[in-house]
Amino acid sequence: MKFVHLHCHTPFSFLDGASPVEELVQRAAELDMPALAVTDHNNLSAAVQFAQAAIKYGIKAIQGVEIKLADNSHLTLLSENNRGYASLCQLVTRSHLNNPRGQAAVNGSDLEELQEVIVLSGCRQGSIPCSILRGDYQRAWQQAQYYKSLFGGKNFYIELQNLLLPGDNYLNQRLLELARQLDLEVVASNNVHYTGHEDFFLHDVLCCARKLITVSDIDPGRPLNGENYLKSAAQMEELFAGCPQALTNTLRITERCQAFLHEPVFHFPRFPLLPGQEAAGVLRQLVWQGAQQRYKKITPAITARLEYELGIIEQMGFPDYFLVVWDLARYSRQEGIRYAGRGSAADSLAAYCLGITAVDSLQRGLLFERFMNPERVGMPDIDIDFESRYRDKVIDYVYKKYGSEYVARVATYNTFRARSALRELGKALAFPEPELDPLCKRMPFYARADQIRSLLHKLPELKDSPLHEPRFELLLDCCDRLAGFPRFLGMHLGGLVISDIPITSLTPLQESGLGPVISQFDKDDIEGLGLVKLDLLSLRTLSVIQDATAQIRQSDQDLDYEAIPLDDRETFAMINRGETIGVFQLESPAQRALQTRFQASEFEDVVASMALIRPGPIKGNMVDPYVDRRLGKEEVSYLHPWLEPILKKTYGVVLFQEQVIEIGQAIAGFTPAEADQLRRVMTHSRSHKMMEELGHKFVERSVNRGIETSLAEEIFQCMLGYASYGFCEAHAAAFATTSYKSAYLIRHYPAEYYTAILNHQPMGFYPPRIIGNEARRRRIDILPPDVTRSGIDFTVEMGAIRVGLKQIKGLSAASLGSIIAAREQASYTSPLDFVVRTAVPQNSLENLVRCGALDSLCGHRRFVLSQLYYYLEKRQARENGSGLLFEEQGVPAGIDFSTAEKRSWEYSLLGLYVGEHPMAAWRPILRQNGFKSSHDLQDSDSGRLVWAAGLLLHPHRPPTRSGRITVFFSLEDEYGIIDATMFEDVYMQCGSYIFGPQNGPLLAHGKIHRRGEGVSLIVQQVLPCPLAINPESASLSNE
Amino acid sequence: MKDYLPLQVQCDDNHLPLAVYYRERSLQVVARLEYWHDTGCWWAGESEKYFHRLILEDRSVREIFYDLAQQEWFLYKTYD
Repeated sequence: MKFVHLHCHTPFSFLDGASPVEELVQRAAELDMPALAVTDHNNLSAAVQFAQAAIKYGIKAIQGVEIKLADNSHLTLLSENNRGYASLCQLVTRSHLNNPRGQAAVNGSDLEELQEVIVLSGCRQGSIPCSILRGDYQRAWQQAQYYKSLFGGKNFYIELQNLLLPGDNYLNQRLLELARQLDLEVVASNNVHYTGHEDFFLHDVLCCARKLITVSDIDPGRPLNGENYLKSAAQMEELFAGCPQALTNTLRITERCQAFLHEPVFHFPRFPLLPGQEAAGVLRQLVWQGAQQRYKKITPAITARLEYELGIIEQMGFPDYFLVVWDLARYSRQEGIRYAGRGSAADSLAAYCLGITAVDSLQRGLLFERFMNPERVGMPDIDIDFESRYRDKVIDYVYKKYGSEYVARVATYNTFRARSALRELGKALAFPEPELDPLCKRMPFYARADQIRSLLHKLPELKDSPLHEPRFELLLDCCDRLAGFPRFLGMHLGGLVISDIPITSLTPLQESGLGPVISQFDKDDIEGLGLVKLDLLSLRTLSVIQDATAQIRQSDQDLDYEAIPLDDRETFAMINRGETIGVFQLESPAQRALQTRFQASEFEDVVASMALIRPGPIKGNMVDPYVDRRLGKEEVSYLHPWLEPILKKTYGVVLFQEQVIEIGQAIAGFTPAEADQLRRVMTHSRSHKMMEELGHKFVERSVNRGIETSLAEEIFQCMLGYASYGFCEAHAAAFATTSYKSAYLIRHYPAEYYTAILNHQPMGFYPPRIIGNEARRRRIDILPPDVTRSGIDFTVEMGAIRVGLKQIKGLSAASLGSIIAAREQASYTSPLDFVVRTAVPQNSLENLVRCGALDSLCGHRRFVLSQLYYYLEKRQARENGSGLLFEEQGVPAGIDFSTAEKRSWEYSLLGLYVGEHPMAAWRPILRQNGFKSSHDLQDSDSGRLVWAAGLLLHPHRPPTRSGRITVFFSLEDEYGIIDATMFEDVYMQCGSYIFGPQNGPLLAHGKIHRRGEGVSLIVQQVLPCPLAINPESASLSNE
Repeated sequence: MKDYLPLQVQCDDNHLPLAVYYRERSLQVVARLEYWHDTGCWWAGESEKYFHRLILEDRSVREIFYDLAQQEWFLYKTYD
């Protein structure tokens, strides 16, 4: 006998499903089941992955859901077809949006809206079984009668489960009796929560995590046994030996249900047009208008390219999509919102003419096929960066224009990582929080849940971790199994879809943790539903540029950001010195190190830099050969003359994905679509078999074009070697424009630019203190916050940067408003005057005094602090209408805080140093003992062994091709930063000082390494600095 | 785990109890009222148990279980 599981939970039941979607489908197929239904709790997130897995394993996907009703009872719903699926989406949407977040529930009346859905009476939490178990058969009968009349007798089944629980026998007998009395069919299910019996333990632990209890706690919601697995038809037959119709009915239901997402469908957005207009025609008109504006004179090459692109766009049904994006760009320009198109869309000349991107793809020789071609498997999408503070305004515009019923934000599946898995499952396994917390914190944040065991043996800072003890074995087993499971739905940074039909026919919606309503699908799955994603991203750099240029224009009205010259020598000189902290995409230590060697002299070098400092090229040791060729130290050669025009701009190296496409076309004569397929296979590390097949095809076609077999093979191998590191040139060019221009602004207007960066934190690679240090290094003073002068934000003041009041920890918006408002009435004359006239609470007043914001009114901070109670009494008296307002305040007396104490308060309250850098205080003793500063290292010879000291910054371990660990970090001091590299042998000895808990500066011993203009330290030893423990100590030695 | 009284149980081919030897008497199983599985405190190393609620020929209602790890039967509960 055959059987189909019609009640099955995946990890998208969030802590109530313990096996991955694909594993469940694979198992169902192995058990020779013709179909499987997925029924997660109030959620359809698994739908697309489930449908794709079902196609892969050759079974039918029946999409369903287990809903919770307002009375907490459950019902199992199965969609018969797409209309049924849409009905489920709408029901689930209502269950989420009509209730507080996290408490989704369906109102009974909403069930009346269901169409083409088969309903099963549910598990023990269904109202009918629940009434029977409570001994209220009459209530169960009434409920069953109600559902029968609501859904129709043919659509409502009594669900029988034999999970070998106490009472199952009785319950099933009564359910059968009920079905007979009401002439209803019965159907068997196993309420599947995992694939095999052995996965029960994880399910139980997840249940405990969901219920915030431990495994030792007794709770009726926990499973009693491990029977909720995907049982075979034979096992189900045994369990339902007395009721075979319950099994055969699973097949009857399966026959009624159509496979979900079996055929591809597309739901392009519809751009609103005037009567008589059609999208393709309007798009053509706009593109040609744009071309006229961009080029003035339309050459045959432009005409040919645009005709080609428009043809493909029309063929693929994308005119409306382009119009939607064009309209967003138009709206942004109209509203003065800075934006920049990025990604492969910059390969399109049409996008350039429409003002969507700023990259002239024709002039750069970029290939449209990389962005769009008729044979492309995935859907192309257009990504646009908007200045961060107005991005949401653009999204609001989309909602208003297309209607909220047609628009949805895209979700992200936030999955368990090592830290979250250890913490949540550890608590469920009854490990105390104080024990778990340090274990979690020592685990690298990027680690996957299934990497914990390997990292315990690999990372020195974990070598003494208690996780090695046998008592943690079960926890680590659970973490292994849990890797990649979704924990909750988050909101994608900028993903948005616009549908041609009401969006809730395609996806359920729910409230995100951040507030906006999101789809229940992530970016990949939502495309699987036939929707085309728009990425409207928020980029703080664009806000920085906008603010900086506005500030600059106050003193230099000639600045035109769009017309910034791309060949400014001073800008390139700054880049070549590696002085790029704050420069978009060029500020990381790796990029700074590259720039000191690369000696960029033109915009193309910046474009190449974008592509070079990526995990691929670094891992593949590709950076140095590229730089050597660029500097003429290595000969540039081409395997075939046809390759020269393609690879000339990258010195014979395949750096960009577009080049793979061009080689495919030029050497093997591939069509654009075939060549893009080659690119996709190569850059996505597809299977060895696919690569081999493509290799044969490439060689065969090349030989047909007169190229020798061995040469064709060599070219293919060469492409293979480089192409997996390839980067989209269009994207690199789009980013490089912003990158170069931000460098130009820093070079010529550093105070304005760094002020803007400080106002848009957090952003970029470095914290405010490093930005402040960098500004100071460029001889721009950082002025302390001052209640008599500071604005809310950082401001430029006579060429210096004044710290804004917003930067002070704990100061509320109300306090800030009160300070500014009172100051506008009259200047503050004393601390007493300040306290009395503002509404700043006591703890914030203390912070203001401690960080020096009241120094201009009285420089004796200890005294002012001691007087605060008195000032506050005066404020109270004033508010009560009594007391002498301008009573004489006391005369400062006693010793003020030491300079070190003041600096310490300033840093802890402001997050940056307004006075002396802490390393400066230690410099005399460090110097006395032979420790070098970052400034000293600039003049040191390569290969020399030195000791240096500084505060640790950004330690990280990027992947390497060899798999060996290389650690990069920086040491910060009062002059700048020292970039350091630590190889695996040293890391094994000293890694715990780098990745363990930090307590002040580190001492590093190593060899000076000079490359180009850059200096770094190859570290041989690291030690904690004893000064950190006792800064007054004079006993520091590097011996 | 609590100490439970070990039992001798005669089973059929499907390992279902036919008779229970209790206090030197063999009591035939008249009816099996319920049957369930319980994984117990699995995290503490406890093994899975198969429970049966039975009516025996002396009209007593008793719950017995088979311990999968020990491969032994035990008396779990007797209803008055």
